[in-house]
This record gives sequence, structure tokens and C-alpha cells, in this order.
Amino acid sequence: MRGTHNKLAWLLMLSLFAVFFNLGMVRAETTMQEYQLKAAFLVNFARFITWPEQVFPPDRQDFQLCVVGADPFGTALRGLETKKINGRAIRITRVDSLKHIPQCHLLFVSKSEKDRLGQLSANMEKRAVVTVSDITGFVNAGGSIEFVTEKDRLSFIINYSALKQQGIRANASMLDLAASVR
Amino acid sequence: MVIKRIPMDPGKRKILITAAIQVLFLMQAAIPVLAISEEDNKYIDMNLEQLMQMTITSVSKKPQTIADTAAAVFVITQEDIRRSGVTTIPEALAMAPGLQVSRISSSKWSVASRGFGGYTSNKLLVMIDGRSVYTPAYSGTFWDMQNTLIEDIDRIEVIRGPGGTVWGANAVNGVVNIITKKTQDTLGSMVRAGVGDQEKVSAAARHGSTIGTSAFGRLYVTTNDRGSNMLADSGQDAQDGWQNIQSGFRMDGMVGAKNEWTLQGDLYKNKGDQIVYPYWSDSFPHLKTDYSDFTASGGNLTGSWQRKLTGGDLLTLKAYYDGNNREESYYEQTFATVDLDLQYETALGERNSLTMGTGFRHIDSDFEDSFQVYIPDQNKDLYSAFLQDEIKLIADTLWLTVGTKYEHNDFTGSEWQPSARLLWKPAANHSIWTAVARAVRTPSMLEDSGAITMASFPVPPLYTTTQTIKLWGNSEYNSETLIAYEAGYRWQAKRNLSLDVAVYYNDYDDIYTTLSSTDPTSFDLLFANAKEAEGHGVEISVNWQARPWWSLMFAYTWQELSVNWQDPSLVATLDDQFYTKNNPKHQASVRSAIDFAENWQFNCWLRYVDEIQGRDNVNMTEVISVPSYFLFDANLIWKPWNDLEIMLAGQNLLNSSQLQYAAELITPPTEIERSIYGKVTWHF
Repeated sequence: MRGTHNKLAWLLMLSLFAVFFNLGMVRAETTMQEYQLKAAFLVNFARFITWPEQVFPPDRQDFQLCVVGADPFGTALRGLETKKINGRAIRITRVDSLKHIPQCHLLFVSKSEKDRLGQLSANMEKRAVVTVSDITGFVNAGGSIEFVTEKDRLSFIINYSALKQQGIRANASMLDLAASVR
Repeated sequence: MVIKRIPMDPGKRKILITAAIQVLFLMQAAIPVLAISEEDNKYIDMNLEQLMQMTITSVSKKPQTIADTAAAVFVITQEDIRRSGVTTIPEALAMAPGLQVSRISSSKWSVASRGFGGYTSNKLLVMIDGRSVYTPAYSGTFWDMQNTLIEDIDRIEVIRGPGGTVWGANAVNGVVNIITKKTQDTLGSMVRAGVGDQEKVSAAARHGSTIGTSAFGRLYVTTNDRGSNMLADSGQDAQDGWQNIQSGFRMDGMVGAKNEWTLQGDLYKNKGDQIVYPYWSDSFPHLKTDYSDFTASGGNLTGSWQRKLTGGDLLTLKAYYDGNNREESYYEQTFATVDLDLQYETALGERNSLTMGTGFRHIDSDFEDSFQVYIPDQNKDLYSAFLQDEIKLIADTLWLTVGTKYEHNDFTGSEWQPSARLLWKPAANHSIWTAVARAVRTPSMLEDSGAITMASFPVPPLYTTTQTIKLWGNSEYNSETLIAYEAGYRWQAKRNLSLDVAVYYNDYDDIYTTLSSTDPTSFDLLFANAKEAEGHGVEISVNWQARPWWSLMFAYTWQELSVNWQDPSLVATLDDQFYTKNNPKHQASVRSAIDFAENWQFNCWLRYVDEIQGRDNVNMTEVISVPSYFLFDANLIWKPWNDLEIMLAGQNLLNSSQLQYAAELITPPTEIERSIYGKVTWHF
């Protein structure tokens, strides 16, 4: 029966080749893991940063984490609300656009907002909000913290001078770990 | 089909019971973790230092550096391995173009790069996380002793062609680097269990967690019980069942932002049945078939330390210990190896980036001899140093890499292994490279000072005395040398389509052969470097993501090798024919991976291997022909939910059994049987 098997094998190989020269599109691969890591970074940033007391008025003691634009986190933020930032419970708010940002302490800017970063400095300059994003050039556009990838590992650039102007202080060990400090 | 029920011997039972206990123990340790919901973000409680050590892994991503390498490199990723359904490392290697992988029996393989295959295939250097697993006894790799947990493999880098400049002696025709995942990537627990006809029982467990504030660790255990195959001549049971268990650990950590360290180790035990034929003895019946078994056990410990210095310089210190014992019915070997390596990378001006290194290895060996094999106990030292400079001739366009390794070994003294490689990138998606390199294979202990019995027979007229023909080691035996000329082209045609072509011409000298003893009264033979060889070939691989849900991987290899006497007045022998015809001229492979529904994947793999010839191990003028064949593997993966994966796999589906190779030693021609197995993998 060897002969028939070989015929079958050749047919299989030919049919695989037949579809071979016929082009398609590739799916963009964003892994869940990358944003789980970024979510964990956000929690750590919040713990290393000290906000001025007036951003926690008596009626709003919770820590406000906002995500603006298309939410890339999926389920990565799940369970975050059970964590505490210096004794404060975390509240997560999703926001549509950079134009109308509610009271946030930490604001993650999604890649979907790449072309609207111009609105960033105008809206944030006078407010004690730490902005974080993985958009390339985010710090140059006035953002506070930008995720960068070095040898497949996540690191971050921190805009220390801008934070100081907003009255926000970042812990020295966080500055030590940063890929660069502006 | 007749199913024979063979009572399990106590040794096997012991291995399986130990395995079961270890798996249970690991599961116990893991149970508290179950309280966490499967969807929870496992990184949430890590500190910044830990998070910054995590690598971002993206599906089917190949390391970027491949396009910038002036060598024939192919990377087998964990995703390739997972979707192929292979259960051993050599099976995974069959995905790479330019390699010839044939299963000799359940536990034995011939794995070669660009020719010179065999059970004792000796021109390919194999390393696991930088630890050499090439055995100095007869030069080669005991594949049955390399049972790293298959899920822990991050990638296998297959480099065809000489790698002597960086990797040292024996990286003649290629280097296989098996690289396991960092512990940052194996957090949480995994349990796998499988059953099948050939893959009778398989089980594995792994648990990874953070250690303190800046380190990670994992523990694993893996075990397999594999069934026997069928003898090609008689259709009888080939008595090659094989059981193994291996367990180990790995830890990775950082000290400050500048120092990274890794500590890892494994312990294994492995036992298999085998038929040794021919088995010569000094009394009647001088030639017999020996139905026996082998046991192999060992352990290793590797530590490495990497420090980032100012200006991007990098200093790496690596040390390992490897101890192993292998006992077969015709000999026993025990090895203890200590290896130390220091490497330094630095930039010299704008254009030069230098890599230099030095190494020391001490090998302590102990052999139990028999009528069949004799190797004296010996200690060997190896010193080496290498220097390589990558020079940017034109920024982002043209690079020249030159370097050499100097090695001093106790067999042949000094060996130099220089190379020069040129890489030209006329555009970002085109790379053209060419290289010339020298590499050597240093003598094995057997070739240097051992002896093997080739025949034994009673002498007429009285038939009371026995004449023995032995093949003796030769202390004058030299290294085999290769000068290789290579070139290649890589083209990233589209985001979803890439092509890689490599061509080579190999010029070998002082290739091993056997010569008659100078003593006219003796029939004995002597190892000698009396052959030369020429090899050439073309290797092509294409990756194509045909649809978002469908990827295809194609590989094709064409090669020819001819072996001749260095002295042209001598007549060609069967040996020459053996090496020439022992390599398949054509090999082709197509793999297809389809995500056909949300949680379903269908993968298949078709391989074609051209005909080869082996030789009869008793009547050495007799040729055993292995006709061309196809192997077809297919599997179906179902993920009923995110952390649970069920796989139903079939290997060699086209034939009930297939002869892939006729080994030059020990194993009579064995047809590898069709295998069907199922497995469940659970991450939690």
C-alpha cells in the first residue's frame, strides 16, 4: 500500500503549495501580557509618586485612575480595584477624549489618541495629573511618563521637570530605575 | 496486529512511581495558588524592579537579530514546538532546513547538519543554555539524555555551518543552541498529562514564582514512557521502549540595575531497552544479538553573572558542572565536566564592536571496559580564547565581522578557528551575506586511545582458538578540518512573507577512516585521517502568514557530499559510498498552522526525505537501502477556556510504520510506528 500513501502525500504537498502563492494580511499581534505588565507598572508608579494634598478633598478620598481613548487593557485591570494606593482605594474611569478629562490622579493615554496629543499640555499643565502612555514621543509632547521597550523589556522615561511644575514629587528610587529622566 | 503484553520490570516501575510522586508533590505545592481566579493579572503585586525584568513575548516572534546575522541561522520558537506536537528535542530540529533528522529507534536519533549523519554523528555541537552536551567519548550527542521540559524551551537557534570562532571545536557543520525561558516568563503553575499508543504515558508539572523582591524561580518535573517499535527485517518487536524522568530548577534575578544572574540545574534518569547487534564475544556463538537495556543518569548545575559596565560594555561570567553516567551491556562511561567561561563585549570607537572571551574546561572520565569496547580512563583539559570584531564599514549598510578562536586541547595541541563574515543590507528588508570559516573536530577519546571489536570468529582447522579483529585508536590521530564558503540572502518581502536562502561549499580534510594495521599478521584496523570530502548544498525557508488565522512554513534542502582518499592512488571503498549515500539529496517540509475557530487550532506537517543508504553492520559490504519517504503529522488543539488546552496528535499518519535510518552501530534497522496521543495542559 506504500504507493497509494505516497500519492496521497504528494497530493497533500501540492495542495499546500497551491494556496501558497496567494497573499493575505497579517494580524497585528498585541499580547495580553504586555498590558498586564503595563497595568502593574501603573500601580507601582502611583505608589512612588506623591500628589499635593488638595487633589484628595474630603469627599473624594479615592485614587482615580483614568484610561483615555480605546482601552488596550482588556481584563488586565481586573482586580486592580481591590488594591490600595497608600491606603486609598482605586477607582477606574474610562474617558472618551482628551478634551474632557474628569478629576484624575493617574491618566493612561491610549495609542488611539496619538494624533491628538496637542490637546494634552493645554489640558494638563495646571492640574496635578500624572499622564502615562506608550505613544512614542509622549514625554516630548508634554506627558509625564512614557513607556519604552529595551531588549524586549519594559522601561520608562520620566518628565521630572514637568512633574515638579505640577507640584508632584516622584520618589528617588523610581528616578533611579527610569531609562532616562528629563 | 498482535499485541504482546510484556510484564513491566521493577526498574521501569520504580521510575514511574517516582515520577507520579513528584508530580503529586508539585501539585500539592501548587494548590493554594488555585484560589486566584484565572483571569487575574499575575503581575499586579510585583514591584518595579521585578516588572522591569519581565520580557514582553509576542506570539511567533523571531528575534530581530536574525536578519542581521551573516550566517545560516534558523530559529525554532516555542510556538513552533507547541503547534507541531513533537515531544522531543530532535523531533523539533526536523523543522530546520539544512538539518538531517532521522529517528533510529524510540530513544536514538541521527541528527546532522549538512551531512555526516549517524548515531555517532560528530560534526554538530549541541548546547543547552550554554552547556555543551557533546560527549567527548565518541564525539556526538546522546539525544536520549536531553529531556528538558519541552514547554520550558524558549527557542532553539540552529546555526548551519562552522561556528568554531565563537563556540569552539566540534562546531564544524553546525551549532544547536537550546535556550530555555527566563523564569520571569514561567510564573504560575502548569500541569500536563498525556496518553497514547507510542507515547504511552507522559506527565509534567512546573511551578514558578517570585523569590523575594528581585528574583524569580521555577521547578519542574517531566516524565515519559515510550513504547517500542518494529524491526524492519522481521516485523518483530524492536524492544526499544524508553522511559525517562527529569526534574530541575532555574532562578533569575537582578542586583541593582546593572547585574543579572541565573542559576539552574537538572537531574535526570533514563532507561531504555535496546537490541545490540552485532554483539561479538570471545566464545561460541561469537556473533549474537544482545537483548539488553541501557540506563543513563546525570545532573548539572550552571551559574552565570552578567554585569553592564559604563559605556554599554558587558561582562559575562559563566560556570557549569555536568556529571553523567551511561551504562550499556557493552560498556559504561562516567563523565564529570567543569567549565568556566568569561566574555567581554566592548565598543572601540564608532565603528568597532569587540567580543572577546576565554574559557577553561576540565573533563574527568571513567570507563568500564568489555570485550566489545575499551577506552582508558582519562582527564582532559581544554583552554581557549577568542576575539571577534564587528566593523561597521558603511553605517546601517555594510558590516565585516572577523575573528578567531584559539584552543588548546590534550589530543592535538593548538587549534585555530578563524572566520570572516560580510553582511550587506542594501535596503532594510534585504540582507545579503557571505562568509569563509575554518573549523575543526578534535579527536574523540575512542579515536585517540580506545578500541572496538569489529569481528570475532573461531580459527580453523580446530576452531578452538578465537581470532578477533579490533579497530584501534591512534594517538597520532589529528583533528578533522573544514574550510567552509557560504553565502545567503534574506528578504522580508512583505510583513507576512519572508524568504531565507543559504548556499555553501564545504572543503574537508583529514576526515576519519580506518586503515589496516601495519602488522601483516594482524587483521586489526586503525583510526586514521586519510580521507577528504567535498560538500555543497542549498537551503531555503519561507514563512508566510497567508491569512490572519493561517500561517505556512516551508523548508527545502538540497545537498551532496563526496568522500575520497586523500591519496588519489587508492581505490574508493564502501566507506566513501556510505558517507556519500548516507545523506538525503532532497528534503522538503511544509508546516501549516490554522486557527479555525476562536478556541480551535489545526496544525499539520508534511516532510519528504529522499532515499539514503546505510550499511550492514556485520557484512560490511552489504548495503541497506532506506527508500524515500513521507512523514505526516497532524494535531488538533482545543482551548475550552483560556488556561486549559487539549491536544489530540498523530505522528507518521501515512504509514503504520516507517524506516527512517539504518544506523552504523548497535541498532538493527527499525521502523518507527505511527503514534497517536492525547494530552491535557492546564496553566493556573
